[in-house]
Order: sequence, then C-alpha cells, then structure tokens
Amino acid sequence: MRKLRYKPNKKFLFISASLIIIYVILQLTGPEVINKPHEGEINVPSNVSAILRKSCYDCHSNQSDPTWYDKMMPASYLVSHDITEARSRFNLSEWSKIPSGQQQVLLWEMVNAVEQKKMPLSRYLAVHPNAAISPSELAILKDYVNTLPGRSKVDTAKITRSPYVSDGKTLISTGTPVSITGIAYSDSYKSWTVLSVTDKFDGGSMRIVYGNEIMIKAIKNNQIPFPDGAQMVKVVWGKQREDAEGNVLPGNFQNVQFMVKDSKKYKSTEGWGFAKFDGPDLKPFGKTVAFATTCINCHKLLVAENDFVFNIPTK
Amino acid sequence: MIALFPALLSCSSKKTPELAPEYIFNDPNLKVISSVINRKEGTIAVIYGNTPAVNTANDATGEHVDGEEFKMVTWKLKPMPNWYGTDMNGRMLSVETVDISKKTGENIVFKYHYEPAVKQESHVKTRDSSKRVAFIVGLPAAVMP
Repeated sequence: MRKLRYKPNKKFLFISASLIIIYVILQLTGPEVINKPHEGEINVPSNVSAILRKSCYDCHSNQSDPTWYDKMMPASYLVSHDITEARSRFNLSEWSKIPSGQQQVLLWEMVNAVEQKKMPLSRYLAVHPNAAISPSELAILKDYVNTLPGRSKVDTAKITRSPYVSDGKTLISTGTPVSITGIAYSDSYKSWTVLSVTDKFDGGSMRIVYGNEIMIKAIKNNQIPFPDGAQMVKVVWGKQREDAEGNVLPGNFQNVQFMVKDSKKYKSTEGWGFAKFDGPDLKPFGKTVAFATTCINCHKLLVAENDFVFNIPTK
Repeated sequence: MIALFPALLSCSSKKTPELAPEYIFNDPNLKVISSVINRKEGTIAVIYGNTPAVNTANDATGEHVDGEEFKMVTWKLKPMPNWYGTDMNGRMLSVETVDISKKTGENIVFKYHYEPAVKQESHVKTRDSSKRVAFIVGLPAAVMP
C-alpha cells in the first residue's frame, strides 16, 4: 500500500514566500503617525479628562500611540487617515487655539456624537474595545457640558433695535450682504411658515426656524431628501432673564442662518448651501467657503437620516 | 444567504424620521412678533400678529389701533431628537387669539379667545383672560433685521 505523503507544491511555496517578503517590505513603507508637541492642552475636570484620554486621545490629540497592529499595512493607512481627519476636526492637545465659544460648541457636539454612538468610530472600537464610553461615563460628560457658561447665559444688555429696519423692510445702505457661499441675505423669510421654535442651552439662545413653501410642502408630503429649492432660515436671539411666571423672552438679535438646497451647486456639502449673517449689521460669516464644511460635518455626523437638517418637526 | 441579505441591510439602514406636519401653525395673514419659552410650564410659544399688530409691537410708544389681531400659539416643549442640548416644540397645545376694536368715541375692546388644540384639554388650569390679553398684546416685537 502506498503511503500518502504531503508533497509541497514548489510553485505555491514560491508565491507564498514572495507575498510574505513583499508584505514585510511594505511594512517599512507605511505612513508614520507624527506627534507634534502639546500646545495648550484641554483643561477639564479629572473625571472628564480620564474619559477623553481613554476614548478620544488616540486620534484627537498629539498623543497618538498606535498599537503594533495599527501600524501594520494596510491598516496603518486607515489609522493615519483617521488620525489626520480627527485632528483637523479638533485637537485636544491644541485646544487653546480654538476660540472659547467654538470650544463649547465642540464639547456639546462630542456629547451628542457619543450619545448617538457615532463616536468613537465603530471600526476603532472593534480593535480597541476598552475605548468604549459607558452610559455612566456619558452621564459625566453630560454633567460637564451643563456647567459650561453658555448653559445659563442671560442676555441682560439693552435691546438694540436694528437700524436697518423700517416699516418691516430691511434697508441696508451698504447693499445686500452676501455670504461667501453665494447666498444673499433677504428678509422674505418673514412671510414664510414657522417650522419649529427652539430653546438652545448650548450657547444660551432661542430660535425661530422658518421654511419656504417648497420646504413646508415637502414636510407635508413626507418627502425626504428635500427637493432643490427648499430653504430654511433660523433667526437667533439671546435669552432674557426669566420672569416670575417663568416666561423667557428674546433678548438681542444674534444672527440669522440660511440653509438652501441645491444638489448641484452645493454638491460638496451634501446639497445644502450654508450662510450666516451676524449682528444687526448682518455681517456675512466665514472668511473662506470652508466654513460650510464645518457646518455639514456636524449635520452629517448627527442627522444624515434627516437629509442633514435638525430643525424639522418630528414625533 | 440571499434571503438574509435584505434583512441585514434593513438592520443597518438609518432610521428615517417620522415627520409631524401637524405641529406646524400656518396663517398666511400673520407674521411673527415674538417667542416665549416657559420651562415652568414646559411650553414654548410664538406670538403672531397681522400688519397693524406687528407695527404696534415694533413701536415702543405705539398705541393699539382698531383691527389688530394677535395669536399666541403654544406647543409642548420636548428634547430635540438628535441633539442633546436643545429643546423644541412638540405637539400644539393651544391657540389664544386677541382681536382689538377701537371705534371712534368708544372704549378700546379686547376680545380674547382660548382654543385648546385638543378639545376638552386645557394646558393651564385657570386662565385669567385679562392677564393673558395684557401679556399677549404687550409683548415688544423681537428684533428681526
């Protein structure tokens, strides 16, 4: 009887050996994560800092410490990409470079990203399960953001009437303000329909959101994504001190924000054009069109299923 | 496996929102005057007015004129889905209307009407109508450029 013997296939062995050698060589060519020095690290209570260090610092800081398997090709490319992207959104090692108001917005956004399980990224958690944020840790983060100054901000300043309004019409001597995204200010929203009205704790403001006819019709017809031509305008005020009956009235006008749906023109921001006009003189916000990317990044992270809008009436 | 595929897809697909157009108040003859948040009552409201009402609310020294119409629409305050940190209007609770008539040689008359959004349901136990009228017609307009 012939003995069955395993005979190695030389061709197979050669290919396998070559692949292993190529793979090892490739490991030497992968991207390297470079940690710059800290320049104004975030300063938060120790229980909050512990959560950030455990779950966020790997990507959102200059203290990235990739494990050996993070450094393996091709994973190393994904890791390097995620770290670059994360640091561009916010870098906890360079926190002091961010204006204080923006820091608060980002902290609330972090809480929301964690609550909606958008962060930490699931692909990161799959290989770093210890970075998961527990419900009790989320509660610590929520408690913290509720201590931020914007949470209880009261607008006590004398209310400035707009010098540009006469008989309900906007009159601006310097011409119509136009956002760098190409959206011109117009007060025609005043005859649109109110879509929603909100009390915003983060930052301390109250808002009325209007929708134009196309937007309102789409909501009535349950049409998501919203069609081209849909527009939303949000008017933002500070909040006056609560009276004895508990009423809180609008304080000073802060800004007015536009979202305009044009799937071709605003393709890079998911079909929505953004504009914000600040203060009574309606100064267009944003030095470069990149500001709209900051807008859509948050809308994309948290309300992608709503066609990227927050302020629509939902059950 | 093929049969399982759609099931897997539906599990991972994003949750589409359940829109609530019935929360929207629309009266094309009226424009916004102001808004009121009341966390004690858990409500949020918008005060609307017709053109004479909006003009009076925009003028700190203005006196009421004949034909002014005000409507205060009140909704239940609820947390905004998808954003922890903001509360927004939920279902509508009531619409309060004040109509002003001021005929020459006669006293000014404020006609008040309270309409709950759901019949047999009032979101406040007692409502002093004269106080409500004073509050609604006395609100200065929010600054809107």
